[in-house]
Amino acid sequence: MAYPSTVGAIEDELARLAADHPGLCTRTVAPHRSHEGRSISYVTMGGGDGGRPVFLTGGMHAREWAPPDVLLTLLDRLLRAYEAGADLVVPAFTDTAPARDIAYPEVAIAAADVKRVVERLDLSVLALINPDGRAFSQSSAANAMWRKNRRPPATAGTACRGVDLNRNFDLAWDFERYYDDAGDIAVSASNDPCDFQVYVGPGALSEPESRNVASILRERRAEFYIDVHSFSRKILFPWGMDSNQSRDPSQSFRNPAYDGRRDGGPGGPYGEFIPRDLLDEHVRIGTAMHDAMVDGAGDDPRARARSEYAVEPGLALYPTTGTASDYAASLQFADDPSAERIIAYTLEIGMDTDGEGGFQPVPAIYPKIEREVHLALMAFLSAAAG
Amino acid sequence: MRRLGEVDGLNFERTSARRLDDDRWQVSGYATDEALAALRERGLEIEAVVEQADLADQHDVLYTKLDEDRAREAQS
Repeated sequence: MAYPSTVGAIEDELARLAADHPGLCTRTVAPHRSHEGRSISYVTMGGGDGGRPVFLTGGMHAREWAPPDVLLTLLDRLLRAYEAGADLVVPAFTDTAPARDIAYPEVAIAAADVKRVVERLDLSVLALINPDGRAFSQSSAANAMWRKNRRPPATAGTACRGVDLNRNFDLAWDFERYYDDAGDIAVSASNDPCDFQVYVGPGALSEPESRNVASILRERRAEFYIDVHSFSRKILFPWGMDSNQSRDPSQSFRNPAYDGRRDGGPGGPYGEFIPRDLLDEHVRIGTAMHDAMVDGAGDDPRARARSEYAVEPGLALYPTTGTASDYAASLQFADDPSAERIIAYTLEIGMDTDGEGGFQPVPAIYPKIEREVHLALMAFLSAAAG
Repeated sequence: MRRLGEVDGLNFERTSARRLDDDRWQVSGYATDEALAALRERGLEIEAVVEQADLADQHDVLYTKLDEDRAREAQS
């Protein structure tokens, strides 16, 4: 499978993985077809009954081309290594662009770790959430920057198409009700169907693509989740909708008394509650992912600098609502006494600088991004396997 | 920042935002010439990471590969 893959190549690869690894890897068609009628499938690998449920997703934003490829090549390497009883080898790479010539060494992840990950986890991978959007973004350079899905316009003849799937999940989706006036102004979300970037959709989970993710999260009761995006070299943990605090459990998305009073900014009177131990665990595993990438970059300080991912809360310059990773984390606070702890991240892979190509790396630099993400995800899976 | 999302021809990545100092943030994105002019009119500083011609070359590589793949898929 050669990056960048078409929608068809991704479907073919999912079928091949299931066919080549029967009994170990199963392909399942997700419950909802896309607006343009494409079926969407995911693969499940490993432990089966009793395995700790882990879920990885990619391809939510159409223009972010690397994440689906990275997820599928990781699965391929993991399955091959496990069946051979061998180390998982992340190949060496040399960035040969003029004036760079930076070498990244081969890294071997021990066969014992591969075995532990495969046998202890029940791993599901939905590599391409938004096939319609990817097909459109890849149709011509004029459409390269398309981000949303391809929901048809509400009014025939208008050009306002698509929903930002990463604003469509059922958590603070109704942002105008959720925030105070300052938060409403600051939030990265829009009720305007013509907004090119962050239209939240006509309702929470209105989109078949986001409903697929939500249903898999719920039905498989995922305890570890990563949604892979690009770009900015960041490992983002909850929350993205407000600043974190671990003092006052009443300041929670679940508490309607705060509707219209949340400020959505750092240092404001409202902070979203996250238990201290849950916050610490996110930082601990995020740091393990970070360290795996930097350590795997070898000794060249330029390679190490280019492998530095920031580990930080999703709230940065302004808040976001309705994101997949915050939604996944929110499920552990539902009224369900059997709800397990959930660790959830958004992983923003690659960079616009250093010749990495931002949303669409060229094939020459893609292996650098692929290798560092494989190292990070293996560290994540290893932490999940315990 | 939200108003940046309303600039036609500007596609930025929210998570690339980083604080430079107390008063300034930096964010990365893709912009047409018209979008760049609109941003300069607002008094924003702009630093080119990739020139338009280089981006066009990158797209040429990517879309050529995709076109070839789709042609192969159509035949099989």
